[in-house]
Amino acid sequence: MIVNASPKRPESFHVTSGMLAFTALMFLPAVLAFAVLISAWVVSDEVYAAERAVAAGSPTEIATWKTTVVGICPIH
Amino acid sequence: MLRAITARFGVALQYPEFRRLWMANASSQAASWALIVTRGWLIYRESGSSFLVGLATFAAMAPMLVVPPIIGVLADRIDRRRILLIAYTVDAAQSATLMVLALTGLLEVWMVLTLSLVNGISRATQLPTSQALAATLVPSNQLLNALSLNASTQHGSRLFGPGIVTPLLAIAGAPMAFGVSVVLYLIALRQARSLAPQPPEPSSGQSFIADFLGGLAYVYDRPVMRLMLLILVAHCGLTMAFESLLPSFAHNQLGAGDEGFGSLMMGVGSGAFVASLFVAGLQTHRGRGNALIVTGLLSGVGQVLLSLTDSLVVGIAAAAIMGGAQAAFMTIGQAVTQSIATNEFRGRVASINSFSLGGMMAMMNLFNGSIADEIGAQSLLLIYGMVFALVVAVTMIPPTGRQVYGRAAIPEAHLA
Repeated sequence: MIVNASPKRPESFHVTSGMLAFTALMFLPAVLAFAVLISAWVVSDEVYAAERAVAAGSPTEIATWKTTVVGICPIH
Repeated sequence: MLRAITARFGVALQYPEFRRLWMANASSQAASWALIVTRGWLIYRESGSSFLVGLATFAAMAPMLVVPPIIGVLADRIDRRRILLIAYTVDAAQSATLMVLALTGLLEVWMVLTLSLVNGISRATQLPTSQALAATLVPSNQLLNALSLNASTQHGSRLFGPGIVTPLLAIAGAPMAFGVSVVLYLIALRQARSLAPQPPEPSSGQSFIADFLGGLAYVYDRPVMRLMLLILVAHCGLTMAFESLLPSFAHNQLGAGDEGFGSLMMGVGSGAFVASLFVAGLQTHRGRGNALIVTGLLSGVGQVLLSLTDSLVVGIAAAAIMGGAQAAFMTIGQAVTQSIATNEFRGRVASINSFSLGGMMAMMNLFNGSIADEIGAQSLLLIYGMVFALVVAVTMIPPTGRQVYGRAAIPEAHLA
């Protein structure tokens, strides 16, 4: 019922809104996951230092997105 | 008896070229898992840091999100056997480096982390390449059997690799365990060397990026392949991103702590191993379609069952059902996409599979980990399981869905 044909020709394509949506769906999860992991890596020292400062009784200002991204990341 | 079992479940192994590739896969997968255990053990002993252990595992896994798009294009442009030879050589060399550094006492944590990344890049190269190569080494009617046997090496190696090195670590320490990985990678290299060269299809003459976009367009323009991939992405997001939920579930719902988490993961792993062997026995297009429906529904229902129990024994049984159904569904789904793909696109189809599915699992694991405390792991498992069972039921209705699930023939026009 299924046949493996092997025509040798380049695949031409036209960019449509459907194809863009499909491509985004394929790529976005990996890009988002990677962005979270890398940004958590970059800011984790700053967040941990702020947490230690709070524990020591001298609160330090830190951007909310930094604490959020470290909170989301499973290895930080 | 044994001959009958082999004829039914190991039929693709009758093809010498596939048998060599399968041996190479089995050895390299076992070596990878042996390395993961050994690196973790060593780093924790040296640093006492769980974070660094996690970082080493992350370094080995993260390339799966980045490398496959590049390798997919390469695997359609150059000899896939040559790509595997390079990957296995790199892996054997980095394992040997770890062994020598550990023997001489020069090994430091940053070196292990760096070589974890090298190992991760190499592994992300091997998986889509060997999937694309396997599809060319057996007739199309044995493709599901070949991919199932490949999948069984992935699940079996999770038991086999750590099973070899764990006692060695206690008896002889890390150098001997790294040595086992070297030997396993050398076996893989030898098997891959004995494969006949696999000359690629004639080049399209397009740029690297145009070839990559051509691969995406190829998948998008084939409705059965497109729908199958979308269902697989939904499957990964809704039922396979459970690793960040199970620790909390085992602790709060089952009252079983870390041991409960480990038991659930063993249930998932053993179910996956058995199911991938079961799928290898499917011989007809209709049987494959039926199994896709049943395992798709069970993947969701198994997760619902798990979410509803507060008994560890029942939870392990549900985890085994869930793990088995997930592994079988993924294997059959990948066989559907590879059976439609023509040879000059197989590498890109396998790579789109790898990074879209891996990316969705990574993102949903992050998402689940961040909301599990508010919503509860039990509720998330229940909702996701029901939603995925619904996805399977709904996607069976349209004509393309009927083709995906083997209820109707795939038009010839979709196969070119």
